[in-house]
Amino acid sequence: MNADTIDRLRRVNPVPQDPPAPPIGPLLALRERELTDHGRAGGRSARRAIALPRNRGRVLVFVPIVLVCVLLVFALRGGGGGQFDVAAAVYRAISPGHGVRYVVTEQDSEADGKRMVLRVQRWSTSYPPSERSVSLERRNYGPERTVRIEGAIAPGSTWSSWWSGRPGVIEHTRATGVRMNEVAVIRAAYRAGRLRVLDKTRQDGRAVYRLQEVPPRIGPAARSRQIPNVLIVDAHTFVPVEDINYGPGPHGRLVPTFILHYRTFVELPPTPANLALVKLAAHPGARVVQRG
Amino acid sequence: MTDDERFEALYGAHAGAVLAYARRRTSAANADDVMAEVFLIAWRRLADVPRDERIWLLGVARRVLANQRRGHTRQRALRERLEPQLPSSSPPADSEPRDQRVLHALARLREDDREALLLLGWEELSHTEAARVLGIRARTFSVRAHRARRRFALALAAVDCTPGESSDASLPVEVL
Repeated sequence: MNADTIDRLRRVNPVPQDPPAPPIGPLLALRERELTDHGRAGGRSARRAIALPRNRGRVLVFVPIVLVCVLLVFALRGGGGGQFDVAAAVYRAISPGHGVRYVVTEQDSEADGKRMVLRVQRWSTSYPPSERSVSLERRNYGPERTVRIEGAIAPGSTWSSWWSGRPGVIEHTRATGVRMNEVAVIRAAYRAGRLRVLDKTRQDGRAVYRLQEVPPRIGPAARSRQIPNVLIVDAHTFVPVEDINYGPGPHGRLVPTFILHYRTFVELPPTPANLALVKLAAHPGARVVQRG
Repeated sequence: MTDDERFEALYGAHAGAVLAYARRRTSAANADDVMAEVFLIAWRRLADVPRDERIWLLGVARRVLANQRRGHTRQRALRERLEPQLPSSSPPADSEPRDQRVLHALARLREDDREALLLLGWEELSHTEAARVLGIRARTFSVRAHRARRRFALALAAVDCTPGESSDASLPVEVL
């Protein structure tokens, strides 16, 4: 590096010297108060008392972020009222600098006239979900009979899923593979030739690509007569719009048997109520069984 | 040493550096929030904080700022920081007029290039340290820094050739 360049940069350094560290008290107080009072009205007044008073708007932005961090600290330290906290479990495995910022909700339906109540909610550290982001999903199958929550640590590479189908038991599985519901994964699969473009069209008023998985040339999947899934994505953002799965239908024909509609993507604040949705609350104190 | 003691030691040793890093890249008001978020993350990940704490914290601060960038808040703030015309970003009183050309040239760079130069010039990190802040290999950083320096020189020349940019009175607002 040219010393002259460095000298020039140093001369225009707007903060030539490190400022003294601000008192740690407000930060510690904020941390402790949130640990003990979060979710209660008393916590609000306590936060107000220690919040940086310069700008109320900034504080309003700051408090939810702090709340998320502190809630995660709380969960990681064994809190959570006996509920199994998926968010905390996922966050144990991710790199620093992340925080749950967005909640994306989706809704699914089944093809062939049979509608199944399947609600998917997704939390992600980025929107649209991207490579190196963290994604948490909650799926309720039927009238709360079973709950599946998945935490994708790195989309397309590794994820963990927690499945609560039996009272008192939560099954945990770590898996690797491709999940075609992450933007980065879809892009990567397309670049790698694992998806081909069927056509570009319009759906619900927006331009979309219809993509289809390219079966491998060798292996059992290559000999399968199964029609590969068709994935419809937004032409500009690659956000998934629809995922069409084929299976045996009447007269032995392969027909769409399950269509996953990604209906709404809504950004929600990381409030305790929203974060609580990724807790397996059906079985407080449930035993976690490792599968695979 | 308990977690609380270690956290307080970490804060005492590096809060100033983190705050300075943030103030150099965003408004003073937002910098306080960035620093608080960095140390809350540090608290949550205290067991993972490596020995070179400052570099790790700066890396976290960089990511926190990067997250903010999505709303263009940070770009606007950085523009204000780099814009010599604005009171909040005025260079030191003893700086020469030619230094304001440096700010203009910096503002013309791509973010990757600018950050590489600023880590060296403002944070005074070594290539190895700067690479770790950015999460890349030292060799990769050296290449990036070399190219950034070259583009910086071109940007300086362009500033010289652009009517008005060498004059304090007519600095453009939209420089990023």
